Amino acid sequence: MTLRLQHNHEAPPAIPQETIHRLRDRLNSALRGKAEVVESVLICLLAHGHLLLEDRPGLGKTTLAKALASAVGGRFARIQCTPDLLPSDITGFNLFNQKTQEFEFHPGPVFSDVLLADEINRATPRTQSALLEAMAERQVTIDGARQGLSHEFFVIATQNPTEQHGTYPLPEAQLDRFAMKLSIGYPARDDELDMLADALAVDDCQAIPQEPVLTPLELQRLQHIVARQSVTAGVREYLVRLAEATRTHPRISLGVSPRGLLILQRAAQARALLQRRQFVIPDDVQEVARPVLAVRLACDVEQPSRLIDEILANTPVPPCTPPGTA
Amino acid sequence: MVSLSPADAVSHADRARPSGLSPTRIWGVVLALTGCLLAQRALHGGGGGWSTGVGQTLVFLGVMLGLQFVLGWLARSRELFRFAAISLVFTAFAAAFVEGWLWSLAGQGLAVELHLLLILRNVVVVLAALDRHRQLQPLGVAFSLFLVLFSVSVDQGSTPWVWLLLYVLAGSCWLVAWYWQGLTGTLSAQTVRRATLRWSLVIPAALAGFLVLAALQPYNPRGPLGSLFPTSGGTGAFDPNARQGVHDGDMLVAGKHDARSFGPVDSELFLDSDRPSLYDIFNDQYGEPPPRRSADRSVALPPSLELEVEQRMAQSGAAGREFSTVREGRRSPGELPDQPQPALFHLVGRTPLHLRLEVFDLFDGTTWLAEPTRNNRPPFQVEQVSGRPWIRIPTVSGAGLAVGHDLHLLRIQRLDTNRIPTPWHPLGVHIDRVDQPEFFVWHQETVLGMPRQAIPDSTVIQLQSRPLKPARLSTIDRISTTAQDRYRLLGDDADSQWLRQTAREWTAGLPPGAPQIAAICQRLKTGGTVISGTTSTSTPPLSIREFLETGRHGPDYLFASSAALLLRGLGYSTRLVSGFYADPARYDAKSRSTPVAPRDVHVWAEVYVGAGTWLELEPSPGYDLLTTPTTLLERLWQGLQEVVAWGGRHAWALLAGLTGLAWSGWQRRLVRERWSTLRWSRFPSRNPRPRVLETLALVDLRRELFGPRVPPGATPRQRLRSAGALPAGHTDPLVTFLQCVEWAAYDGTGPCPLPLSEVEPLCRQVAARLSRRHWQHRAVEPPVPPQPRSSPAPRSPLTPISSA
Repeated sequence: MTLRLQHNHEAPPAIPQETIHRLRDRLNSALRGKAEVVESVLICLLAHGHLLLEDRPGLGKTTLAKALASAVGGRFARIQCTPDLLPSDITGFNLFNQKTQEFEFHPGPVFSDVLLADEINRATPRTQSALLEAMAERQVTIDGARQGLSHEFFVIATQNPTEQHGTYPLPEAQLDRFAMKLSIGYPARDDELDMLADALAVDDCQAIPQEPVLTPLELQRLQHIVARQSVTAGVREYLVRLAEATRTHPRISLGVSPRGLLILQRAAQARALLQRRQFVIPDDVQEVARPVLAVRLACDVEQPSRLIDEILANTPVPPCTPPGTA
Repeated sequence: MVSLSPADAVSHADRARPSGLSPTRIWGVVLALTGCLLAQRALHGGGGGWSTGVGQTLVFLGVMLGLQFVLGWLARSRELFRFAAISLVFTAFAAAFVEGWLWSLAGQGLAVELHLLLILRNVVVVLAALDRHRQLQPLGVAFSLFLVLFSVSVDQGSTPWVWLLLYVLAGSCWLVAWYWQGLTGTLSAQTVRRATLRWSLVIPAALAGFLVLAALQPYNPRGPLGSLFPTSGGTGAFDPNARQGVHDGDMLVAGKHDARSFGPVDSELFLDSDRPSLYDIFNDQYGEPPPRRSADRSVALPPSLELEVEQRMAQSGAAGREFSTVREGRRSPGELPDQPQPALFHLVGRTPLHLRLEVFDLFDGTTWLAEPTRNNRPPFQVEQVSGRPWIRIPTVSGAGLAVGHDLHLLRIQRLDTNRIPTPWHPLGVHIDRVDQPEFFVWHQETVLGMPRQAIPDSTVIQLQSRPLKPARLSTIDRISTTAQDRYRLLGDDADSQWLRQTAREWTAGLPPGAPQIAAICQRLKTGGTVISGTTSTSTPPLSIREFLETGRHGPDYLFASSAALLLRGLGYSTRLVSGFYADPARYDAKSRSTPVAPRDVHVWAEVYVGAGTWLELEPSPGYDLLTTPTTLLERLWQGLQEVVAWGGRHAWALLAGLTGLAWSGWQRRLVRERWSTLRWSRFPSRNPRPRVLETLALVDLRRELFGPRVPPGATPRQRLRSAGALPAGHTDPLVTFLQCVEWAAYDGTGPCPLPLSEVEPLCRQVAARLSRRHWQHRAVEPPVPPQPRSSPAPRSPLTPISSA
């Protein structure tokens, strides 16, 4: 006999755990030994956010993005950002067809499902700003005409933290469009040995393209399920407390915006889904808080992670009382 | 992903406190100290107080700063809001009850408005000491502003206005600093929200407790509150604990010191005036003595006294100056005891007070004969005190028993006599505009009088005297006798022999002097009851022996006569005194005086203790002697002695109680844990959600008391992880319990992950597993290293059953 509590909500949709499991396996096989990064990428994807990867060259940022694009089964596009990259190179442009005597629209790379913007900090601010509208509203405006993007439009941008010469750091407004900032890091020794062993038997020219594990429609459904994950009032208050703590901390000059707070909640919901739960717990919030806050906190220290840890450790979690009584 | 390390955590309490000495805190302390200083001036009466000097001001400021430092040091490692609340409540309670007990024990203290000012001052000191809490700063400043405004309004002179100007300047600086701090921003104290509900209940409960305890304590604060604030007497109501007016309001109303003040003459104190009527109040109260027969003397007089006694008996009988111990019962009950009697005179001053009118020395077996009227003492001297003539009475040494000064005012109302009711050991007498010593005479050796037919009605007589200091009684260590045999006269008849034998029995084994005197009085006082003449119409005993043998129930003159004769049986010189007893129970707060009516006639005894000093004895039950006011230190010492004596009588119970208390204090964590466990096991919730959370609360309490510390941001999973690594098995009770906790706390709609019948066994299993001993064991182990980042769901041991 189980206790059935009275509630008026409609029954939650079934969670396609098998699909999530296959997606996770696909990414893990592409990026060995980085299950935590893969988990964060999945959270970002399911939370309908964009991802900023900040790490050194050759650590698998592009590999991860390509694997994600192939797994989702959508269109994949890549932009190698340079100082001479123009906004129209990203959004597309209208070209006059002398034969038809009409302007024809040539879509840019943003008209894809997964966009990899490699070394985004090497593009000029004008070009970076071209991504603002696309990332925030999933549309672009060209010559006064709005062009809608894919609903599953997902940006993975990378930047190199070491080579700062000739780069244009992303402004706060641009950073706030990203849901998370992640670092992949070097793989462990055993993972590198496995990677080398696997590479002996594979000919890059004969690599067989893999089948997607989910369609864009299935991804959209998963994102819909994430949005319906339960968040109690206590956890919501905990989220607000965290935001207040970032805004009033003496060493943080720019705290979390309301948009960032919404992204934090959605990421926690996605994490709960990946943990096979239908409700969010403070652990979910804490798990996603560092990558979500890391991309949008402006502080006077090199590593904001310690400040985030301090805030998380000192902000009391919601009291353990039955929901609705807190 | 996020990995929380307890070692990296910063104390939550530190986060709520802006670190360092900010300008806001500095100016806040300046404002608080200014308010406290002005309040101190108001508490000590303004310009004339001790705090006016620069040195004392600096000392006071130093003490205040020291208190703030100590409080700040005590609060450094505590949760600040809770510590502040406890300190404030404790401060208010302590000040309130110390003041209440000062009133009840020492009879002195502050008026209620000044008492409230004192409490507020202490609250400001606490708030200023705990100003690291940002939300306490404006509260402390607001209270200090009230202190300043109140103190300036009641203080005199120009000095408070200078302080007010300084306060305004400092307040302006504080406002500027507060504004800039608000712009800069600091990390707010989020814990306050969590504590709002709890403290919103605690504060009303504390106020309710305050009111209940205030109602229970001896000092009733409602009295002065009922009068016009600040108790100037404007409403007509009066409370002895009130301040009695602003500045010299009391004197204005009373008119005691200056006839040109509001009350035009001294007699303004006594507004009720009946025309008196003269009659024999003693006979009316005690009953008439039977007709005296010619040869009923039962005392064999020595030859040296025979002639004198015969003459004096004849004179006394003719003048009515004798007091018979054999009287007939009153034929009518007279006035009812619960009905007020018209006062013979009113008394202002400390009570109880014995006022003598007649002294008797000779006792012939049934009747006391008054002392002869002699006026052989040194003449009176006139002394001007504050422009008023005081008649100085030549005093004897008092044998060291009389210490200090007492001032009493008598307003004669209908006492038709020329004798002045005289207290023991008088020093001076004053009647307004009477500046000649010839207006006063000694009626007897220790009874003052005026050489006229009667003292005019409404005459106000001020009498200065020395009260008895009980601690000096121990210096009486021998039997002192006067030169006159009449004070020791006791016959050789059977009754007299019986009295001698009884006195020896009552004082067997005691050394002569104070112990024997005290034993006689104490024996009489404890063994009998006084039957007032107004309450009984029965016939008194026929003799002293009969009175002593039948249980010592009778009028007070029999107690006094018994004491005098028993002491004579031991060889002491004694005498009988009749007069009035100003009963403190009859104090009238409205007129601020004690009316003395015919029912207050009283008879007591005196014993000669040497150096020309007669010591008053009060053997009648229910009557007390006026003694020197006990200082607070003496009362504390007496209280300590009583506590020690009580402890000696209940040594075993006290030892057991103290041992229990000490053990409870030493093992307070264990006691708290046991109590919580008992409550958890005996009063379980029936609903699975609260039951699971109750179990978590119990486990958290055990960890908090005995286990490792965790930061306030630790989630239930992290707190349980501090008990050890969570096992990976899905069937482990701890894992299942954690699922239940997360469901109970954060899943508002989902079903319970366990069947309902398994929740209670699971809770008991977890409570038994994470016991006190478990946490104690964990506390001594090295700290758990930071946990790895979260793993993907397939690796997690926590797979909800409901979704599986």
